[in-house]
Formats: sequence, structure tokens, C-alpha cells
Amino acid sequence: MSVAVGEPRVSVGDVRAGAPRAVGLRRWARFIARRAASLLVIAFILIVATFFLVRLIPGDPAARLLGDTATPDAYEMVRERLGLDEPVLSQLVNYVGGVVRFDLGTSLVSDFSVAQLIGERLGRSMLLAGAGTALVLLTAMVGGVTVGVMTVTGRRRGLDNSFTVSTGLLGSVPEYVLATVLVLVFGIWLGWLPVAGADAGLRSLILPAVAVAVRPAATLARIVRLETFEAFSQDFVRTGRSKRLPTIVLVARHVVPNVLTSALTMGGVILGSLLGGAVVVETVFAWPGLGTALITAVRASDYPTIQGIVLVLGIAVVLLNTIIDLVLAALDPRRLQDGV
Amino acid sequence: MRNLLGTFRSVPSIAALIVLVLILFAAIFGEPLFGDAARNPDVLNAELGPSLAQPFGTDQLGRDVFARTVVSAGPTLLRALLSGLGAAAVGTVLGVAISLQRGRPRLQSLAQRVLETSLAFPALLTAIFVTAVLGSSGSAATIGIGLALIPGLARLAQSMSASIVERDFVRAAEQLGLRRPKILFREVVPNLAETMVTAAASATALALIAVSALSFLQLGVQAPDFDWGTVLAAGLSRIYSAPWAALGPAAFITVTGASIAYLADAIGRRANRRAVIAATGPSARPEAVTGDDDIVLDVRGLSVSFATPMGEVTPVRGVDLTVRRGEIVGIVGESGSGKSVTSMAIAELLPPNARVRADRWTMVAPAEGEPADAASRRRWMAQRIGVVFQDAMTSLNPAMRVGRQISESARVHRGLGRSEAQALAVERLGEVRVAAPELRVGQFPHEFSGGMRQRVVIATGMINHPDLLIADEPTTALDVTVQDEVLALLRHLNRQDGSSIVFISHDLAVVSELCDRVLVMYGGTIVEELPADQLAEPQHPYTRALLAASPTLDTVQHLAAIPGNPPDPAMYPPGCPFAPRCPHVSDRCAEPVSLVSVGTGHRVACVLAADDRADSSDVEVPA
Ligand code: SF4
Repeated sequence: MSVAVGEPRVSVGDVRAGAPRAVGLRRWARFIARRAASLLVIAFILIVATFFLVRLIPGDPAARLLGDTATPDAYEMVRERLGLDEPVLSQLVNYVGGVVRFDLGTSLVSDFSVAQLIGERLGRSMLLAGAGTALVLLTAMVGGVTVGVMTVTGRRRGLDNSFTVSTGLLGSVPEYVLATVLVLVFGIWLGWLPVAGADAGLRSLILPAVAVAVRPAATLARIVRLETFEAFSQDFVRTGRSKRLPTIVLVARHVVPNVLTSALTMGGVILGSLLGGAVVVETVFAWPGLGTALITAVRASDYPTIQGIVLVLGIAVVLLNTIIDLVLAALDPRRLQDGV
Repeated sequence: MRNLLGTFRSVPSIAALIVLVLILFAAIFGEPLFGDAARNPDVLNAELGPSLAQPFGTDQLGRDVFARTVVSAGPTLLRALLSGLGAAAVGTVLGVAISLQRGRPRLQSLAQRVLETSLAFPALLTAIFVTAVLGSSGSAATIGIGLALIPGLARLAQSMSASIVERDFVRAAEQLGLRRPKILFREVVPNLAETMVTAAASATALALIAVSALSFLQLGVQAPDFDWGTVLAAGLSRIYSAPWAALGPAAFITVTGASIAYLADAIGRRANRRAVIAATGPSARPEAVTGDDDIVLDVRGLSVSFATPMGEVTPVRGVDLTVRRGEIVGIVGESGSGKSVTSMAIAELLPPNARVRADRWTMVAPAEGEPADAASRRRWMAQRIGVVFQDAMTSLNPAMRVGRQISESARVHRGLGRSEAQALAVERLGEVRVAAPELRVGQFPHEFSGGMRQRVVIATGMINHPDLLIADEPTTALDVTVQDEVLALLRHLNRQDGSSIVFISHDLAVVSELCDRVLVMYGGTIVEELPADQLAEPQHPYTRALLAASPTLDTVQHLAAIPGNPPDPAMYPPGCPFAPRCPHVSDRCAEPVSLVSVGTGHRVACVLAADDRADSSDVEVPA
């Protein structure tokens, strides 16, 4: 029986209390250094992977590109453009050297510099992907949390079922179908919005952004709803209930921030997949982004362009995930301690 | 099996099943029935509108679009299945292989990192990459989509199997010298099966859309072959003049994909069913009474039931609890005795599937009179009851500075401004003896040590200086010295403010030290109630056994002294809940036993105690 009841000792806080800011900075520095290191490694892997893309093509890519009618001169030119006339190792060194200098080679089709082509189109792709992701996050958060809060008690079975069925259906509508229907309804029948291109500013952006957003939004809304349930079962939400907070305050302060971290994580993945994966919608709307350029290049077997676009999109995606990691760490400082 | 059938009983599930059966028929019988109509051009009848015989009309070459859609169901589904199932198979093996590399943590984390990265890479881009390498064809598209789906499935398999390989039977198998592949197929895969089958189905639904997308982009199936994607693309090219030629095949893709996805989802939900089940009726709530301010809480006949998938269980049955001002009441019992459920019930913090009943339940009314609306009711509860939870780490919001968390209740209910609230948080943090509270309020919970964090939780519970502090095992997660400090602190707060405390614990020593009065719970009822200083001489056989199991009043971990386990709330015996384990059990114990008074403030629910009282000539003093 060692319990000393009486005047409690004043406990001195742990050592960390003394200089919280400095420690925080050091942790941030270490965290950023780790992320930067893995970013570099992955970028290097991507570079090597795209390099071997051309070498993976069965048979002689130059011959396949040109078909049977190739003149020896043309053949040599293509081999040179692809860098196939040198030993593999020095090819790789040249390629990496080029990438570092932002020199991604020259298109086989148009004699344009690939870097220039990408430079012209990356912005458009990012705009579409960004707008789409913003739309996804907004609708999925609002819809998922609202339905989540309303169904967490297990009552309202009807709402629960109709949510599951409608998000399931929406999540299965292929983008190309949705895009076309949107064009048909809003572009042709109602004539409210432009049918294609990117020349009408914001008005051009609306339909493509909605077309890319619906499927991921439906999927994310269901995840958000489950995360809302999960958040409600957390101890600190019970603490919030013990403070007798009104539901709206409880949800806004304790549930949403937690759901938001996972939604943002997913949002990073979605943004990445829209950067490269909006190909289909870009094609339907003739949106002058990287997706349409990639499809054109694949159809024309324009390997330097394919290499360049895949590489740039890949690095963009990885960069993006690193940024998301940093944002999440700022939202939830515990992440700084993770050994990952 | 009956469970599985139950999954398919809802209307959407039946609809999805019917769709899939129809599509399957189309895939099998489409070619013999519609093959000719789908392939043979009939230029005279080109671009016809929809009719009964040709519901989607005809295309530019006069071929029946409906026939083309039905005929291509087979190849389309086959490619989707090959991609989805293939990716699931490879992903499962890969994921399990990674989680089996426990011996090589570096390799394991490298593999995980590679998985994460490839997961971030857009799937369609991977597929296009592959078709660029292999050339555009149906098989290249199938392989490309399959490859693109692998990382996600491998990650799922890896995280699922990581917990499985930690389980005993896998370790045992490893120790028996079973070889890796054997462990894999004999122990791990069967346990993963359900999750991975569900995931494979979802992947197939995704593949269906993605394979069609590649065909749509003319990177997949090449003419003269066709699948849903190419039929759709052909229709889309003239959507303005003949929308049905596109909308028909589009509906096929969408409805099939949605059906597969829905069923996968339904099975998955059944597999990890969360008990989101509404309680069967409204719960009782405390009433505000004026008059006797000395009794802060009075509950009679408190029962709590939970709605569960297996029916209703009632882990608390008829508990009486009266707390006087300034009193510290301990509730002891093993886990599962109902003590925590009781405390959360009086704090009105049970989950939504709980239903609370009480014969009488009162608390002191607020100064401004009976709470009329929901907001004043919340304010009243916030003034009367504060709660200290067991696990301070999880009870604090990790993403909110502690100062805001401590003062949140006061801000909401007392309308304090930001700086007033902050000042109050500093004051409370000082009261719970945290050094440098002005600095500490600006920090996050993870910057505190365990004991300090528990003080933050106590400060949060004390923010409004409530009448009653409910402390649910507040020291269990702490080490002994810190435990002592927290107990001393609670005692100090009790003396200083006159707050009453209901202290939940499984620790007899702590309870006897801290509390004025002790309730012993077993099987959802109070079996003995006695002043803390009489805890050394209990009368109920269960309390005695507790004491015997811990002669020095040490922590009761489990009752080695008494064979058997505490009763399962789903099947309490009708009579004394302790009867199955009691050495003194007799026939009479099968009847319900109630608490009888055996001395000042001492009541026991046992037939033996009732006998003693009948035999003895002691004058009963009402409790
Ligand atoms: S009532 Fe019977 S079974 Fe229960 S504790 Fe008393 S003697 Fe044992």
C-alpha cells in the first residue's frame, strides 16, 4: 500500500517541455530530409525505367517504327534519335544526363523538342487534374461526412442503402460515357457550355472537371463515410461528447480533421491518377493536355515523347505525394515521428 | 453459408445477381445466337434507328449494334476477369511474400516502399505504357491493366497477411520447420481468402472499365475484333445523330461494372461487419431535481442493453448508485463485470446501439431552473459531470493543442472568448500540477509524457468544476509512481473543490486507499456495497475470493483462486451470477438475490448473508 495521499508533489514536465520549438524544427528537418532522399531514389528509378521502355520493345524498335519501306538513312536517323547506335551503358548515361538538363530528346514525328511539348501541355493537365481533385474532395467530404453522421446511429437504413447503391452506380460509370453524356446534354442540347477545347477559360473547364471527378468522388464518398464511422468510435470523439459539444461542433472540430487526413491522402492519389489518367476525358473534350499528347504519341509510336511524358507525369505524381505527406505532417504532428 | 445467402437478400443484391446471370448468358449464348447479325455488314440498312428487332439500331455498316454488344460480352468479360483475377493472384502472392520477410526488415521496408510508389502511379498510365511496349492489342491491354492493378492488391494482401503471420499458428508452423511455400498455402492464404476474393471482384469491375477505356482510345482490341469499348467508341462517334448506339453499350458496361462492384462490396461488408445497429428503443435520461443539493446523483434500477447482430445483450442489470456531495465512490470488478458500462451510462456516453433504462435517475437541477431545450440540457450536463478516461493518449485529439482541448467545453457552454478560455486552461493545468502551464497549453498531446497527458485529461474533465467526476480506470495505463501521483491529485481535487468522484477500477488496493465507499460489481449487478475501511472483511463470497486472490490488496489481474470465468452478458444465469463459480452454492442461489443490509452502509447480495441477518439479533441500521 504505497499510495501516499496528501499534498500532491508538483511534477516537473519532461525535458522536451523546455524547448519545444527547436525540437520541432529538428524533427521537421529530419522528416523533410528523409522524404527528399526517397524522392530522389524514386525519381532515379523512374528515369531508368523509362529508359528501358524503348529497349523492352520486342524486336528492333527502329525497324518496327518505320515498317518495311524504310530507307537505310531513315533507319539510321531513327536509331540515332532513340540513341540506339551506342552501347547500352553510354546510352543510359546520355539519357540521364539529358534528363538532368531537361533535355528529353526530340519527337520522332514532329521534330519538336519533347521538353517543349511537355512544357506547353503540363499546365493544362495540372489545371484539369487540380480542378477535378478539388471537386472530388469537396463533394466526397461533404457528402460522405453528412451521410456518415446521419447513419452512424444505425437508424435511417433507407438513406444508408440508397447512398451505397447510388455511389456504387456512379462509381461504375466510365469517364468516357459520362464525358459524352455531359457533352450531349450541356454542350449540344442545352448549349450552355463549350463542347471541346480549352479556349473559353473557366467555362471550358467545367465539363471535363465534372467528367473526371464523378467516379473518384463516388468512391471517396464511401470511404469518407466509413472513416466518419471510424472517427466516431475514437476515444477522443467520446471525450468530445463528454464535453457535451453540440453535434455540429463535435463533427467540425474532432471528426472532420481526422477524416480529412485520410481524404487528403486519397486526394493525393486521385490527383496523381488524374494527372495521367484523365487521358480519356482529355481525348473526348480535345483538352490540350498531356493525356491527348500521350495518346497521339502512342498511336504514332513516338517513343521519345512517350518516354518524356511518362517520366514527367511519374515525377509529378511522386512529388505530389511528398507534398501531401508534408501537409499531413503539419496537420497531425505525430507523423513526424514515424520512422518511415 | 446461410450468412452468405443473407448477404444476397437485399433488393439491390438480387438485382445485381440477376444482371450478372443475364450477362453470363449473353457471354455464353451471344455468339451462336447473334454472331451473324453482329458481323455481317448490310449496307442497305446502315444507321437505322432503334426498333424492336434492333433495340440499339445499326451502325454505319448496317450491323446490329445490340447484337454486337451481346456478342462482345464474352471477350470483354474474359479480359476483365483475366486482368482482375490475375492481378489478385499475383498481388496476393507478392503481398504475402513481403509480409513473410520478417527476418529481413530492410528488404521488407524497401519492398513496401516500392509498392507504395507504384500505387501512386496512375493505373491507366501504366496500362498505356505497356501497350506502347507490346503494341496495341486486346492481350496487351489485358496485361497492361492487370499489371496496373497489382500494386494495390499486393498492398492489401501484405497488410492483411502481416497481421496473420504474427499469429501463433504461423509462428508454430515456422518453428516446426515448415517451409515458406507450405506455410503460405496452408496457413496464410486460407485466412486471406475472403478479403482477396472480394478485392479480386472489385478489381475485375475496375478492369472492365479500364479495358473498355483502352479499346475506346483505340489502344486495345483492334478491328475486325471488337469489344464493348470499341462498340461504344463507334457509337460515340455519332452520338449526336444516334445516341442509342452509344448509350446502349454504355449501359451494359456501367450496369455490369456496378453489379460486380456492388456484390463484392456486399460480401466485403459482411466479412468485416461493423455493428451499426440501432438500439431497440429510447434511453432513459437523468431528470433535474431541485431541493436536495447534497445528493449529486441518484440512480435506481439502472440497466443497459446493447443491440448486437446476435440480439440484445444486457451487461448491466438493476444497479443502484447514489453519490453524495464530496464523496468518492469506488466501483470494482473484473473486466466484463459491467462497471465501465455503468459509468459510461451515467455519463450518457454510451454508443448509439445502447439502451439505458432506469426506475429513477436524478441530478441536481441547474441554478436557472429545469433545462428546457437541448442546448441548456448539454450545458447542464457539462456543469454537473466531468469525465476522466482510461487511455489519455487516445482520449486526446492528436491534432489539437491541449489548451484548446481543455477549455473547449467552457468555450462552448460558458461563451468564453479565446483568451479567457486560454487563461482558464492555464489555470486548470496549474491545478493539476503541471509545471509551466502557460507553455504547455500550446503543445500537442504527443509532446506530453503519459502521466502528464493523464493530468491534461483530468484538467479537461475538471474544466467546469463539475459536481461529479467520473474516472474510468484513470490510472490503469500508467506506471506505479505516476499512478500514485494521479491518485494523490484526485484526492486533492476532491478535498479542495468538494467534487464527488465515481472511481472505476479493478484494483482493490487503489480503491480502498482512495474511496469512501466501494461497490463490488459482478455479472452486471452490485454484489456488495461497503465502506472502504471495511474492505478487509467482506461478506460476499465473490468479494472474499477477490481478496483472497490478492491478499495484500494488490492488483486483481484474474481470479486464479476461483476456477471459471465471469459470466457472458449474453447468458447470465437467472439467479446469483456468481453461482457457477461459488464454493457455497446451493439450490436457493438459482432464485434472484437482492442486496440486503448487514451493517452500517454494508449491503450484500447473497443468500448466506440474508441467513446471517435473519439469525443474528443485530439491530439493522438503514444504509
Ligand atoms: S447467492 Fe449463492 S451462489 Fe451467490 S454468492 Fe451467495 S452462496 Fe454463492
